[in-house]
Amino acid sequence: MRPTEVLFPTDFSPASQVAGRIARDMAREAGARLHVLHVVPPATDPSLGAENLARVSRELGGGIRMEAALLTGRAASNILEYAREKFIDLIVIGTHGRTGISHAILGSVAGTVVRLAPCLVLTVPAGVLERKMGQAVEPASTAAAEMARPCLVCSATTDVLICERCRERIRAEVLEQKRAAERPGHRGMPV
Amino acid sequence: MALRRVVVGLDGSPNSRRAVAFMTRLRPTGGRVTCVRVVEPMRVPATPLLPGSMRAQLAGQADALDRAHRAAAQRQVDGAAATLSRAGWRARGLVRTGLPLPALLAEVRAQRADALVLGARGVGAVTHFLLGSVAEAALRRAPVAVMIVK
Repeated sequence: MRPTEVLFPTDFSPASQVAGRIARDMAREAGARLHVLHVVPPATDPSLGAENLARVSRELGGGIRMEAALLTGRAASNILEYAREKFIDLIVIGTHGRTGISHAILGSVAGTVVRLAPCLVLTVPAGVLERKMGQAVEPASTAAAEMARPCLVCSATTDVLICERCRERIRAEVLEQKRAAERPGHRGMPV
Repeated sequence: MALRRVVVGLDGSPNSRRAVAFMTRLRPTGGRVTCVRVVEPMRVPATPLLPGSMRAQLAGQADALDRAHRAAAQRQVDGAAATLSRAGWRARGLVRTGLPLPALLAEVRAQRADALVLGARGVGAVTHFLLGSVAEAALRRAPVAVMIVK
């Protein structure tokens, strides 16, 4: 049995761009269908995610069967549910390579997916592309480069302490936890 | 840029056998696989109060055990390499001595591999124990793509 359904969950970060190319190549070689999935954090406007998803699907498309999906909610649980529903054989997911405190506090979507996935998981760390192919993923303009520094959470380049996408996600997660805590009959934190 | 140079870490568990089985199913277009099993050397406790002859005997037994472990490991990686060669990969088996993860990562660097394939080891219901310690640490520390096979 060769992989016939390959899932590429993406948050549109540079790390996941590399994972996307690997997923596309593996799907092409195996003649498999490529599923591109983006999970919008709860209580967030999904239009930006939808645009990005369409763009990524266009970039990866060509010569393979593809399916794009936009879901809303918690990333890890939605990815796992999608994998079960669509009988995915292989998940290719990018990791930001966070360790230490930020890893402990925020957890890791990729880590949860690896542990609980019903199938094979290929994790692709950030920075693999620069080393392997000798090209930068994000061409940064000089003016922006002066202001640029790594985001504290996802280490994407940003001109503030925590990038907009991470702020949005953290806000959404806190809101979600608050809502869950106020639910009647609540015991402990939601899984 | 799919998988061309791959290091497969073996430990004799069913999951690592599945890792080899998975590699045979991929379409190998001129790819190279290195099967690595890392053997941890026996450690003999310090026994300063025993007579020298007995200490020498203990050390000799530990050496014999090490040799037996290495021989068994070599048979296993050779078997895995033979399986992968039949599937069309250029494969070879290696036995390394040391701590599992550092030895595997050293091999990844030495081979300039673009992926490390490992079996997920742990069993059990608790989330954290669904992954073995080597697989878990590899996810964080490996500079290349990591495939976890279960």
